[in-house]
Amino acid sequence: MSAQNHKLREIVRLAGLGPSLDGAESWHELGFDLLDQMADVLDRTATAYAQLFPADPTATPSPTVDALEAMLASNPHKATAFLQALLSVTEAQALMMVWRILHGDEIVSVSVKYHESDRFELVVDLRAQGGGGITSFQTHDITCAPLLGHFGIIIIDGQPAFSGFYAHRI
Amino acid sequence: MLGRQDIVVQTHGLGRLPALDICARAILLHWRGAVFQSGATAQVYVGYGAIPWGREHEIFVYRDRDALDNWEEFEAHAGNANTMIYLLAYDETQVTVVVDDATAREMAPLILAMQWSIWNMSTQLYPLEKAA
Repeated sequence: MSAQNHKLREIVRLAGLGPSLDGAESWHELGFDLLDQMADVLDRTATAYAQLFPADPTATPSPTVDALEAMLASNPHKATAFLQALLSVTEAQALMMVWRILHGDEIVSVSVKYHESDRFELVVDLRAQGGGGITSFQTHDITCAPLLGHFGIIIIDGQPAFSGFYAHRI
Repeated sequence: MLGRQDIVVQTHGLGRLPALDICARAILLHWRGAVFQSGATAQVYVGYGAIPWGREHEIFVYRDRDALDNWEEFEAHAGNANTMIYLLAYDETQVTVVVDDATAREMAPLILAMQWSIWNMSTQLYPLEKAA
């Protein structure tokens, strides 16, 4: 196991999600390593993030193992929420969306389209914190659908709002 | 604060950090230009994303930069009533929301929104105290 994967495993455990890794132990016999997948997906997400936000005015770091370690120290509830997404989602677009919300982006719009045996589409538009620009994140991977259940819900001034991204009970 | 009112908001098992986070998000929806300041160090955070909630137990939230400047220069006076909210959370069970007047038109819907949102999310979210 690489040093980065070892660190990622420790972060997952410190975030209280060790049982999720343990539950996938038996998959090793089938040639699947959940931790390897998480590390690969995180790498892809960080690369895609650096391309999408080459000069991020909000100074949000790329979603790397080191950034997750820092988040766990300063905002453990956010680290747990992101890791829950990383445990089940392999789409960089979706994980970038989660990362941005955790760092303060506002959820401007959500669109879900589904048709049996045909297509799934999730599009989330985010506004950078402080009234910045809009970025659209799109995926056709239906395994991303549960991410919507992590969105905070607020009704304020009579208006409905999705706001924030929170961890589920284990 | 001139007419300080403390509203104790139960976290319903959600935990201190998610509850504080939800309160901050609710305030940001109400006051788009809200400014956050550490209650411990007086550090002003550059946006919600910069707040280390895990290290903060008290946060001042000002309606905007002008409100912060006004509070820093004049402290509490009638002219800046209900332009700052003081959030405190020292245990997992409750967040205290301190305002000038909880029944004011500016405050009542916001406080209700915080309470409802925390309660609503507590039915499905992860209680942080279970983390290692």
